[in-house]
Amino acid sequence: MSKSKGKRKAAPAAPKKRRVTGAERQARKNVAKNSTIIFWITAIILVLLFVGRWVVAIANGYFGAFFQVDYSAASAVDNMKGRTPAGDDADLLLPLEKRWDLFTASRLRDEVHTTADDGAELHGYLYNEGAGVTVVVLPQFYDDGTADFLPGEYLNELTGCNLLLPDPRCHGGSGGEYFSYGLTEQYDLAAWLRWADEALGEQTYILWGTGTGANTALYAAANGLLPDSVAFLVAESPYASLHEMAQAHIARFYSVPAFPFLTAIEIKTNRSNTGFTVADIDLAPVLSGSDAELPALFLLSASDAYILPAWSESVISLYPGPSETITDGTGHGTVYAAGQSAVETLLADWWSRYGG
Amino acid sequence: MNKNHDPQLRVLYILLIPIVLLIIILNTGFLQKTLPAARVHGHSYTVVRYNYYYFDYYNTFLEENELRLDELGYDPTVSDSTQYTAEGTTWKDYFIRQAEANMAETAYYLDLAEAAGYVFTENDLMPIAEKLDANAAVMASNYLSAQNFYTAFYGQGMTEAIYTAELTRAVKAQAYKQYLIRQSEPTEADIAACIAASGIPDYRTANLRVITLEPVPDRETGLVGQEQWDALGLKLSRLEARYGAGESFEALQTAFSTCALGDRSGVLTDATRLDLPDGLAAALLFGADAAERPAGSTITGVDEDAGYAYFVILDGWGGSGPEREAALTLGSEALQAEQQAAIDAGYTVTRLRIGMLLATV
Repeated sequence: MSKSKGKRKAAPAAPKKRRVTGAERQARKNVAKNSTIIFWITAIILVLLFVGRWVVAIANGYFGAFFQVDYSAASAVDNMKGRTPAGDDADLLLPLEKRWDLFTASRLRDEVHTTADDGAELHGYLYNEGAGVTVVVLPQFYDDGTADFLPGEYLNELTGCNLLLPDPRCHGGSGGEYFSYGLTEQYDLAAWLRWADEALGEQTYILWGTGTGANTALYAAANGLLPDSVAFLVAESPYASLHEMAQAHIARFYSVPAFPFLTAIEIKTNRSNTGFTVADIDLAPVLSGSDAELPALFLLSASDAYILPAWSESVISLYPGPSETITDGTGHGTVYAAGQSAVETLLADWWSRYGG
Repeated sequence: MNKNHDPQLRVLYILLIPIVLLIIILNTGFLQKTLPAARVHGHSYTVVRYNYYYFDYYNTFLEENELRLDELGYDPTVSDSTQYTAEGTTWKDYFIRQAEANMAETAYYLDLAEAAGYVFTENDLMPIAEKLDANAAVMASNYLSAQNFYTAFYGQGMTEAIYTAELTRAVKAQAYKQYLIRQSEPTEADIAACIAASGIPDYRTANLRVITLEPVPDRETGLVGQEQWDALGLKLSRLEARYGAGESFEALQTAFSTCALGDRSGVLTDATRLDLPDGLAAALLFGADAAERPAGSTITGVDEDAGYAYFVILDGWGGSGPEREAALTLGSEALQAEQQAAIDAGYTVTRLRIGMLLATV
């Protein structure tokens, strides 16, 4: 190898820096800006798809729970704080619950069936005393004919009555595709009364409804579906508008905003083959336009956190027939236990006035 | 890139991925449904089928001994393999032995029933629906889906279908066993000897139709006290009144009976004193007017020891009660001896190692 002598090898020439033109610089800026825009649009679309999917799933779930009363209803109801008496309220109810247990344990409970106007099979329970008086018990949402009916023993002592405890449609042994918070159930009530007249002989009736059960009786009274043989009704904690109640409940019990969740649930309900919309489930216009004359005893729990007293009061103010109101107790379902003496005195008076 | 990390990562993947895959497969129950855990008389039992017997015995043991587990020396919160029975075996071994005894007995009687061409009646199969209903009640009260219930109580891989199939086998086996006991024909001499040894007083068996009613426990204490028994007595009198008013026994039995006595229709044929609660046996079979009681007569009572009230119609009298008791006792003893000999000869349970690794877990 020969050593190089003398002249140093020239360094490789550095590449000439190409001058970026203004146009090219602008083009690069545009690409960057477009990429950012595309990124954000894509991100927003993905978030909307994700949230939308979630909203739709929740809407479907709540529709199933509240209008089809499917398996998800149990956990939905579990979240309804204030619906089931607890603590002091539970202690208040316990003695009456035990008396109800002894009352029912000493009697034979028949299972009875009838068919609703729309063909749904309806199931219920009957304590048949062979009497000419029947108290028809209409429970709240998610309760059925096996639920406690604490005034039952007293009413039986007062009137010698039979007790008919139907399962509302979509509950217990009753069929039906959708639950409509009294809208369709009012016709089921009329069907039960026709059944009772046929099965038990001509009866005098007292209706006792709680929550949605109260609404069912009030719908039926307002729409003239009840025969003259209904002496009076007792409506415990009714409410006017399902939408109003759902709006309050969805935030309180499920910690989600009404928009978009309740909106989605209502859209789902309104577009499903239910035969009704959520807006249809409102007692207010029905009562306002009614000339119902059936005496109604309204019972309100003073601090009801499940069905707010204000909702019940709006129903009371619209009811056209003779009525009285007893407000007592604290939480939901405690008015009879807390105000037993007042309620029973009134019932005895009304029985002699309207039923005897 | 740091090439030194690559081999380590590779080893990690080689180790981790199979383990993760195995965990996933184990959680699907695939291996439990396919790997055999035991063999009995040529029949192979997969892990889930083995688990049926194991957990059925275990769950029943817990239920029946709930209030005296301490007394028995068993703590369900502690591993079964680390606590011992009074006989010195671990509780795990005890449960396995009992489960395998049931498995062998089931296999034995099912083979006998099949060989004899025995046709199972509706009454034979009644316990299947009762058990499934009881399971459904537990699911409902605990908000469990069927899948979660069977996995939780009977091990990974158990499904309602597999459970029902194995339950059906077990129920059929017991039904055939009872049939064989009833069909047994001990000699007259053996019967006479048995009667003489037992000192059973003479009486006639009875053919009965029965409705039973049960008390509703206090919802606060869960106990049945005098108030609850009194309420049951009132209910019984209402039942009697409805029968007296012309309602049929069948309708009343279907609507109200808890079927604590007799078959699904409330029928009890050739009832001995051992088939009846003491109070009813005393009044019906040994009472002063027992011999004169006509067919069609009724007898009612609330038996607190038995835990129910009864409404009984006497359809007629059968044969000798002591002879019937002796025949059943001798038949049961003979069958038990035959069963043990057969199981020892050909129905021992052979455990298979790989499957047993997954069983009882």
